[in-house]
Amino acid sequence: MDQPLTFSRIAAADLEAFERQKEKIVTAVTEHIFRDPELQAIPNDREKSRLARECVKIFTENLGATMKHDLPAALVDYLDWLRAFLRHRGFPITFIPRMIAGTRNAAHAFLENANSDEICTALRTLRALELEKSGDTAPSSPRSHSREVLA
Amino acid sequence: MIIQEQRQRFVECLRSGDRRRCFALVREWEQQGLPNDILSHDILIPALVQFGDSWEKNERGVVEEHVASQIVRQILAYKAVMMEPQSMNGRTALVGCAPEEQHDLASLFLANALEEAGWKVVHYGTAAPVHDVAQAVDFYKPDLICLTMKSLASIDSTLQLLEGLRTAHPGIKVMVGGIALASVRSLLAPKVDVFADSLAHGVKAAGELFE
Repeated sequence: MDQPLTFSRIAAADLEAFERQKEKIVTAVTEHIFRDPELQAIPNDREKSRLARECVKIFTENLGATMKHDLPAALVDYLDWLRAFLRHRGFPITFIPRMIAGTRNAAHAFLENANSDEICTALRTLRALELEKSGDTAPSSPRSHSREVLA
Repeated sequence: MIIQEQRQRFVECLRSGDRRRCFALVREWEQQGLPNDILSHDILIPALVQFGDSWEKNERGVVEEHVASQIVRQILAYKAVMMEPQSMNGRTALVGCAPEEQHDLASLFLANALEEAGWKVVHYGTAAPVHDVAQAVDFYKPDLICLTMKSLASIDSTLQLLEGLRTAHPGIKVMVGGIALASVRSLLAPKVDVFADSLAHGVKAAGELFE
């Protein structure tokens, strides 16, 4: 990972915009995950679908709270717990990185009247950290990157 | 019987969801003179932690974990009814969850333990809106407010509550338990008198705040 995770550069107005758009972001990220060809085991399984929806909702809540109060270590600690929790339930290791990438794209798409750059930078760093921890450090191919872009 | 064996018997009864056997064990140990703090600290809490860990590892389902929680909840209610505190310390503690926090079992343990230590306890349990907790402080006039929190999402509303309390009631002491992350504690620290690391520590620290 090139740079440490920090939320300190995110402006208050951009955090407020994120808070206002949270519901839209959760919906978009969930759809993004359910459409991902590498995560097809999730929408095809009722219990995994339920858990995925819950994960996206709670992750977005926790992201909003930890960004607002600049608590990156708390968010990383939560993701460490979530990674183990999902592993025990047979989720693909790519689930959390894809969820973070989806959140980054949704933030970029929905924060129309705010600047999403610093939020997206933080999420890019968080995703890189997550890829390191999940052991999936291979760079995204152009094709796999295109799958991360919300329609 | 050594405590590990008692805990193991209790966990086996919890695992089978057998309320009657769990209650019978607690009454049997009560008749043998097992102190409530040992029951909580060395049997009930470790049993719940064991169930929580198993749920996280997908070895047990949500319902099994809830069954265990409900049995312990009823044991704590029984203990609260039967309790006869030896001497009251003349102080009141308002005990409950931080705003938006739904996990209230820790607050139940603390309510019982503080009551046994001589506190008058007002226990409101699971999450209540910031405005309503502030109103409750005006109404019950506690000397100490004890909040339990686990989830990160409750940080913002907890801070809001604590800031309001510090402004309106600067003399009231505040204890927070359940969250151990150093960065979260640092954020809350200016508005908190003490963080409880465990049930026993919480009870001891509450007393020490007024020495």
